[in-house]
Amino acid sequence: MIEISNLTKSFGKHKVLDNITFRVGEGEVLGFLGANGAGKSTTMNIITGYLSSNEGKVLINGINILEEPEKAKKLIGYLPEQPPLYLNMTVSEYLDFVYQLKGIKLNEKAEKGEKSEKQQHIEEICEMCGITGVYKRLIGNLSKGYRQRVGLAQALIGNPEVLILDEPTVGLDPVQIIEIRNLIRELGKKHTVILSSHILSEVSAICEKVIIIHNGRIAAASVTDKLIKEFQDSNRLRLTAEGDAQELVKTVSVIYGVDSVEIDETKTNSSAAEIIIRTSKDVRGPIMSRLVEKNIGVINFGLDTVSLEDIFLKYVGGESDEGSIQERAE
Amino acid sequence: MKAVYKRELNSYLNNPMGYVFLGIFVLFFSVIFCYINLYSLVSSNISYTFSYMIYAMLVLMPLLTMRLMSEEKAQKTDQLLLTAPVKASSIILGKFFAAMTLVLLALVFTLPHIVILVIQGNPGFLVTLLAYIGFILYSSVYVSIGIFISSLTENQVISAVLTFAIFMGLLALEILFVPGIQSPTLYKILSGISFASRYSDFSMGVFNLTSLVYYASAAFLFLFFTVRVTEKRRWA
Repeated sequence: MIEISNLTKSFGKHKVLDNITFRVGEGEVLGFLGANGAGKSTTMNIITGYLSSNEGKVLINGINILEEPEKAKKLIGYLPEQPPLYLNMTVSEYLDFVYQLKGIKLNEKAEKGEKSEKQQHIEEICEMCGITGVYKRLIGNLSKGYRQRVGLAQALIGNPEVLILDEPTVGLDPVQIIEIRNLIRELGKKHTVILSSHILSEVSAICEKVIIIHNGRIAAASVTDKLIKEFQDSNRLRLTAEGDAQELVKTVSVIYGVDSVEIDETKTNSSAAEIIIRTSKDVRGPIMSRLVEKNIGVINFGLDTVSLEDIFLKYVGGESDEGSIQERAE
Repeated sequence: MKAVYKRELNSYLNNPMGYVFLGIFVLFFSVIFCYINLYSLVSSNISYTFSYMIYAMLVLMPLLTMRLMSEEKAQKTDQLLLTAPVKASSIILGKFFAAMTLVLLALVFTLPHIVILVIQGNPGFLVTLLAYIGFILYSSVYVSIGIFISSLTENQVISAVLTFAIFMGLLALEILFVPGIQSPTLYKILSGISFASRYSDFSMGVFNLTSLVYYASAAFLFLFFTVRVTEKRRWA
């Protein structure tokens, strides 16, 4: 569906994208993860034909975006980072404009007592994005969350096969975020979706595949679950219990199968200790019975879970935004 | 193109800017008309008024063209336009025709003056028609230069000031420098490319095909430049 090969893009001397290659199959939802300034938006702008790359090519359904831009763009619905809204138009005028701009030809004549196809199409989208209530209002008077939804509605007009969404949940409140996520998941069943985000839980909730991009390079690309599993070490246990940490280590380390025990100093305090246990096999049972035997109150015990956050930090190397800004300044 | 044209025209008519343009245009036109046609020259030839309107357009045209491209860039709506399945040229043509429609609309308000001339004298149909055609052609060059400059900056104020400065410079060059040039070849070349002197043909009631071609190609050239600038941004 979407094939991207060897994309390279520089703004002046600064290389924003360096040899990006990936493909997204039909009906897949791909998450694009990266810190600010990693190159997410630039990649999306290139895919949609707003920018062009210095090297490499983009194929949408086999159509090269540079060679047959109109044909390729017809397949894409794009929600840029900042929704491209005309503030002095009402939502209805705006969506009507986008409809015409995209050159969509649905039957505009209404049967008696019925709505025209065009009307139905637009109303359906408004319903999905939850903007029916503000349909007649000026976009300039809408809140950020509503503007974001109007931006999303704009991308959906004409039912494009590919949806490119740049941080679609930015500026929404928690309830709206859940709604939009559900909507995107729903859309992912019929459309090919690329979505960028710096919120990792979002990507793991919506996307089947994830690409982590860092400093213009692909740091990791995998199926989301697989990526987590790769990092998930079933031989790492985390135990929080009452009492002294040293005592706890002594108690646990004598158990057969336990390789090493270390104290998580950051989470250990006077009333409770937290330790990380490395084992060569699953010894959760023996540890538990030993703790009960010793009459130690267990607060929490289980696998040391790895979140996408940890993985991300591992790839990005714990660099903060300041780090990448500094790099740019150099 | 139709979608952009409609949106742009609506935006003129839903904003004060369109009415400011129309209002000032009609005001200038009426004042000049009263002074030149009715009071000073006592002529029924409307082209005298139009040749002064060209100076008024120096100020008025930037009002019309300053936001055409720069506002899109500032609001990031160019991302919508340029990722939509339309050519850059049809986007720019849509904007050009919207601005031209406003010029035509302004000209509609000048028709009552013609009625006065018809009642009071004999303006001559062809002479009047040529004056209008000439003015429309002249405006089209102004609009295309204005769009071009608007495409160079995100800032509407810079766009307006730059457009004004360039129109002003062109006119000053034509009026102040060209007549004083000694070398006949240089004079011929410079007066040949002068916008204003071409207009005098139309105002004298002479239909000159070269002038028509000249204006049309000048407008085309700057629209073409605008398309190139818009497309070039992708490669920046």
